[in-house]
Amino acid sequence: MGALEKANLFLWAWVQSAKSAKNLKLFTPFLLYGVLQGAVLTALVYFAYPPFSAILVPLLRRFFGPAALHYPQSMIILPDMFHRIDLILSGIIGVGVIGVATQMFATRFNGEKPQLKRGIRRVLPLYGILFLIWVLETALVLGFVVGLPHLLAGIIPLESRFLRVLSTLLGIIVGAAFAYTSVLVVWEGKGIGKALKGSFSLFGQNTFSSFFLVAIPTGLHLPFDWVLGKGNFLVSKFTPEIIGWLLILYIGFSILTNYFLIGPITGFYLLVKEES
Amino acid sequence: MKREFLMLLFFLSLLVGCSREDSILPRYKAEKAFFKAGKLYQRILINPALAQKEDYNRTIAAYRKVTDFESQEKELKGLATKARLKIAQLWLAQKDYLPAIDEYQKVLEKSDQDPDLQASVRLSIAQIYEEMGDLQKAIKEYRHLAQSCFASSIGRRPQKELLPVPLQVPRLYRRLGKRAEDEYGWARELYQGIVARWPQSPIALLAQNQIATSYADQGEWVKAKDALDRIVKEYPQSPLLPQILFTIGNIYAERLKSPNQALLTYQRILDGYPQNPLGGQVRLSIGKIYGKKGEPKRAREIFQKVIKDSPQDLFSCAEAQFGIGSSYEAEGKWDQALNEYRWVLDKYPNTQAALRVPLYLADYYSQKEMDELAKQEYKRAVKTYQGMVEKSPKSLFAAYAQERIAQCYIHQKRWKEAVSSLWALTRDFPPSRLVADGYLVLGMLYESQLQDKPGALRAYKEFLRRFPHHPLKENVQKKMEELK
Repeated sequence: MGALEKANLFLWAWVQSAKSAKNLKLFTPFLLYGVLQGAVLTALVYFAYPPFSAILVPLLRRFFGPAALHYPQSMIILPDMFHRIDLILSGIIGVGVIGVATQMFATRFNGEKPQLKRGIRRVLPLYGILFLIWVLETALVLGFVVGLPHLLAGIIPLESRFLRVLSTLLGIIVGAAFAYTSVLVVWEGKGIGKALKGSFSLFGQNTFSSFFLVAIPTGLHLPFDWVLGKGNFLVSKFTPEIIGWLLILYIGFSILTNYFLIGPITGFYLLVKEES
Repeated sequence: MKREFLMLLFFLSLLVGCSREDSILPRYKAEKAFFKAGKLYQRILINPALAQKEDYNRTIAAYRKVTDFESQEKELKGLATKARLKIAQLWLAQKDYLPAIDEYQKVLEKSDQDPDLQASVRLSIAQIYEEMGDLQKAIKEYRHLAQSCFASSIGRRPQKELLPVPLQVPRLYRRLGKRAEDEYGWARELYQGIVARWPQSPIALLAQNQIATSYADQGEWVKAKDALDRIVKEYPQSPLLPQILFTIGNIYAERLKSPNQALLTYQRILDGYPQNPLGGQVRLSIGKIYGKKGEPKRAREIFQKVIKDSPQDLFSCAEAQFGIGSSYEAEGKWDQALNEYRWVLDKYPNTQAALRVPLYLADYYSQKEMDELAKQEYKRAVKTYQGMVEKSPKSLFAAYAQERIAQCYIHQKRWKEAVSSLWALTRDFPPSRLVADGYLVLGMLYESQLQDKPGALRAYKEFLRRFPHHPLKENVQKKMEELK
């Protein structure tokens, strides 16, 4: 397949996903996950109030120190707390959500009616494989995004922009290499080894398309990450609660970006398969 | 499935029920309330002049909410204390003294475990009474504070910010028109106690300095100098030594009329601390001594060295430039002197020396009875001062320039113009000693030169309205009674 054809498939995968957005059922897995994230955020904002305080106060003290229990420090570190809990949530629930969404997208792109129940039924027995792949992918992404900067700390300052860009790029590349594992497991019924091998090989053959399939939705999050990283500024200029509102916006926005991450990847996989 | 769910529910309710973590809730709510009040407080601070009464009331109410959470818990108690201190500051900013004192009293009642906080609150209360003009109560508070912090029975080392407190007692006695020898003695005893208890410590050095200040207050310059000499002898390594030696030199030069001793002391600073930033001022003082001794050429050489060696010290350079002018004037070379004086205006336009020059030149011609030249020079001086006012309106420097405009008219006996300049001084500038004096001079001019009693009453009335706690308040009230 030539470069032009690959670009064509890439664009077609996006167009296909955009057209399918009319079918609101496809948003259901992401919407449910967003509700869960919203519940976590509410608990974190109201951590000092019962019934959340019983569980969250000792946890926050243990993992974020006593300062996290004071206002407005609790709001400044809210994005950090949220992202850490969200990471765990994405391992426990998120892999399943992606699996269900992949199943629903593939069904839709095959001209059938997507059904949430069917998706769940299909994914539940495969949860173990999806979880193991997630562990592997997350370990590698964290290795590049968190570990690499610390490894190079002696050579390049930890706060350097170059290092941040480099680690984000490497994180996206890892994400792109693992991008097709979900569709291979859920749709094709492959085991862990074959799914990984298939995904890496597809990434090798379509490196640029795969990279941009992951990079575009990920890149759309960067302005949010940048704003949420300015906690002290937000608190001094506005009110600390603005951080909570920004995170709600972030969750809402994630529903959309997750849709445009899983949809085009699944569509692209099916189109490449069809072509070959 | 139903059984598992019930068990999970039971486990969760057990966890919630047994938890004691709810206790952080009042503290968290109090912190939130304190933060929100802080935001309102910041809004006032951005431009206090624009803040309205309701802004203050809203902020005070917000801080009051924090105190509602007060309990025996340490953090909540601390927050409530901080809130009360802010409330007191907000009352003070509105010049509403009695509620501020009430708030400070509440802090005292509730913070009996923190002597440092108690001391700083007592100091604030004393300062408020002083500001209010209630000197008796201020003296009582200062005395109580000094006794509780400095008496020999107190084992703690006092805070250096509180060191001026004992000296404040005799000073206020004098403001009440009373003799204060005993009070000065009492203050010195407290300071000597500190020196004896913590010898060779920084606090002892500062206490010794207060002893010297107390003698200086009483005009006992030899004793003041001896007290400072003791510091020089006992703290040879102190970084404050150049400043102490400079003060000793100034006492010799200006109070004890011993120019040679002064020169020796100044030279000691220059030799011992050649890099000290005081160098410019020290040389300036040496030059002035030679000027007074009738050695203008030598004085000039030293002034030139000040300008060359301390270009960053604008104050000293401007004064040295003025000194160069004076040295030529002393030699009878007026034209050269005039050049040098005008150079002060050109090169150091924002200094006190520059403020002095225009009026000085005009007065020179006036004293020499060169009437036409004097008239021209006064006109030029007024224009120069007006330029200074326009350049930085509302600043203290501009207020000084405005006051000089009035002086120009007073020296020319142009009373109406003088009065109008003084009204401009009182109207266009924020309250300061200069503005207060402006009202008093206005009153005097209306009374003695313009024979305008309503004008004088208006000036005095305005003075009392804007400076209700001024030390001369009673004299002005008496004056107003006489005028009525």
